Amino acid sequence: MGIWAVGPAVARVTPDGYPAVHRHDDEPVAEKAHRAVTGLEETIDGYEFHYPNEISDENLDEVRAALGTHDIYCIASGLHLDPRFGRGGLVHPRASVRSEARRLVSEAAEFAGSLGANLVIWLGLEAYDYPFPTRYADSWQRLIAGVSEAAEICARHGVKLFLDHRNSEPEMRILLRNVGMCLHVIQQMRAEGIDNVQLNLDWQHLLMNGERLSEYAALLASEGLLGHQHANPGLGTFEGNEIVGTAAFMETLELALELRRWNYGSGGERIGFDLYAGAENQLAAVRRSVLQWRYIDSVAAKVDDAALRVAQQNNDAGQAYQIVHAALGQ
Amino acid sequence: MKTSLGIWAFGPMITRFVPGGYQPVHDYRAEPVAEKVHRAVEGLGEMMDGYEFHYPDELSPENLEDVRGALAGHDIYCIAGGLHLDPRFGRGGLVNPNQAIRGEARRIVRETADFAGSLGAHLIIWPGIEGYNYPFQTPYADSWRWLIEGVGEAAEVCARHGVKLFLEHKNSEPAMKILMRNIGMCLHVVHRLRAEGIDNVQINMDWQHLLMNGEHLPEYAALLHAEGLLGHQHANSGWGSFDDDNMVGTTAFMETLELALELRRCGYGSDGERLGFDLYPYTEDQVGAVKRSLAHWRFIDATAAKIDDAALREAQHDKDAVRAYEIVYAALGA
Repeated sequence: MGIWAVGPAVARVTPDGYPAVHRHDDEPVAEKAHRAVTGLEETIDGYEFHYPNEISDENLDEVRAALGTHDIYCIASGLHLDPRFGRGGLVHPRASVRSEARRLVSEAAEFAGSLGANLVIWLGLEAYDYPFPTRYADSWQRLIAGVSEAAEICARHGVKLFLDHRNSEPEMRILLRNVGMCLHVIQQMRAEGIDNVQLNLDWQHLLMNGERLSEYAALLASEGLLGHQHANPGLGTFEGNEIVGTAAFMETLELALELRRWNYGSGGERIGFDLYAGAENQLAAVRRSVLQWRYIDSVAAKVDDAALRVAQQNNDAGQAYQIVHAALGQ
Repeated sequence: MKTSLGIWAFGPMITRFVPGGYQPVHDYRAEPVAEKVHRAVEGLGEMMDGYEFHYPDELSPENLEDVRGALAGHDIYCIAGGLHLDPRFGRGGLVNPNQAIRGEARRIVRETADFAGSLGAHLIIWPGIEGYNYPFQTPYADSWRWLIEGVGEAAEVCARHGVKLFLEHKNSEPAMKILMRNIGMCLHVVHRLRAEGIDNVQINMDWQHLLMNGEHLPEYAALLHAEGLLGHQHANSGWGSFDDDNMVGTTAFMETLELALELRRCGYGSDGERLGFDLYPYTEDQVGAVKRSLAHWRFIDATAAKIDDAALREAQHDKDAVRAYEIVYAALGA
């Protein structure tokens, strides 16, 4: 679980956050980890943190102590948390800003690798807000160069780099805005011999784009690129990071089925939870997400997959839904 | 830059609510394609250098001579695959799980590529029926493999004729979830084909198809050009998430202006690339809508030519939007 789920849940119209008591100043990350571990126990195996804002060498020992036997599964790079990169980091046209961003991302990769954790790069500020101020081709080339550098560091440590896309926020037009553009970046890096980059499917990031969770899980698995999941749903075009299974129910159910088909998890892959509980009780929101996922996954296990394969042979939606609703108990 | 026009702009303008079309006088039976071409050529004169047709529904060996006569020296620039016009492929053609249907679709697509190649025309594949309407209905990984195989086969036929295959994406319609739904997924297909040694596939940017996705026109023009993949344009515009195919420049004005600037920077057109028009003037006068589109484009392109690009590059060095717009508005005459 991303530790930010137990943060202050800041919104631009509520800068102190909905549960203001959980501001990082009042409740350091180690205390958050302690609260999460105490409340969630074995519901969650490991945690994810942004570097350096949530975890760094400075608080590593305290966080580890708070985690107990739980591990640090992923480190997420945190350029978007640094106001110096408001006009971009890896793609900033100014060499000094860009190289500082690359230094930080490389440092994040080194830190992740030193912990044996995978690195998540979500490039939310590598983008633009307006037509005209951006050099597009240069930006794309710089983006790929920056990610490649981090991937090579990850490779030296034997960990993976997970790319995470989104179409917007904080920048209005993010370059790496859909799964297709992630695949483009990966193909470019593969051509340079870099093969430790996979995708993190953040479910709401796909849903915001009209990208089908199950289709992409299947495609990525078939390409050996299904690296990680950030489970959450949302109601529309904004990233709600809501409780899993509260929306997009059928989409999540079909995803669960595809993950089963591809034995997701058998190579150590995980369901990560990327939640932003807003005004809800944070731990309850996480527990509910896990419970709802377990229910959905158990329904997927009941789907008569052989019969469904036959229905798919005819693209027969009516027959497919008889089978799916039977698994739901109808 | 030379131009071309999809002849379907002169059709009956059908919608699912008005199956006879808003302009039934232009039904394909009442007005065969050669007559449409004659009307277009007469109305548009030298504004259009060439035309584009779907195979086999709009152009095939059966009416080729009639159409060529009507073209009066204008060329056939592109042939577009027309599986989406054939009800046999309502549940997919190239990706249909039924091998017999899939085989027939592949045969037609190869035949289309051969026909295009025989004319020296490029082939456009817009796989609008290669998708699905419901969750659970589709074997996804197989479908993607079949799609790439089918496109690869057509590309090889094109290569033998020395013409290009232009891939065109759209997110929806007629299939509700089209597999090749954005530029990224086009790039995925292109990369897969390149890995098999197929390198004559480029991308046709249908502007509204990008706008529907929130894909920024100039960004992708620049990126595709940098990758050697900017093959063709289908110029149009639209309001939001539907493929309106409205007149160029009626909406998305700034996006189109920046695209014009990027196309200039890329030298687009210098190797024979064209500005194709893909319009669907529902209730408008068809010749008038095409003329207006071209007039709007010329104004927009002329404005792009007036932009102080060196100054804009300087503003871009700081990603300075305010300064960038001073420069752009100066070009507009502000």
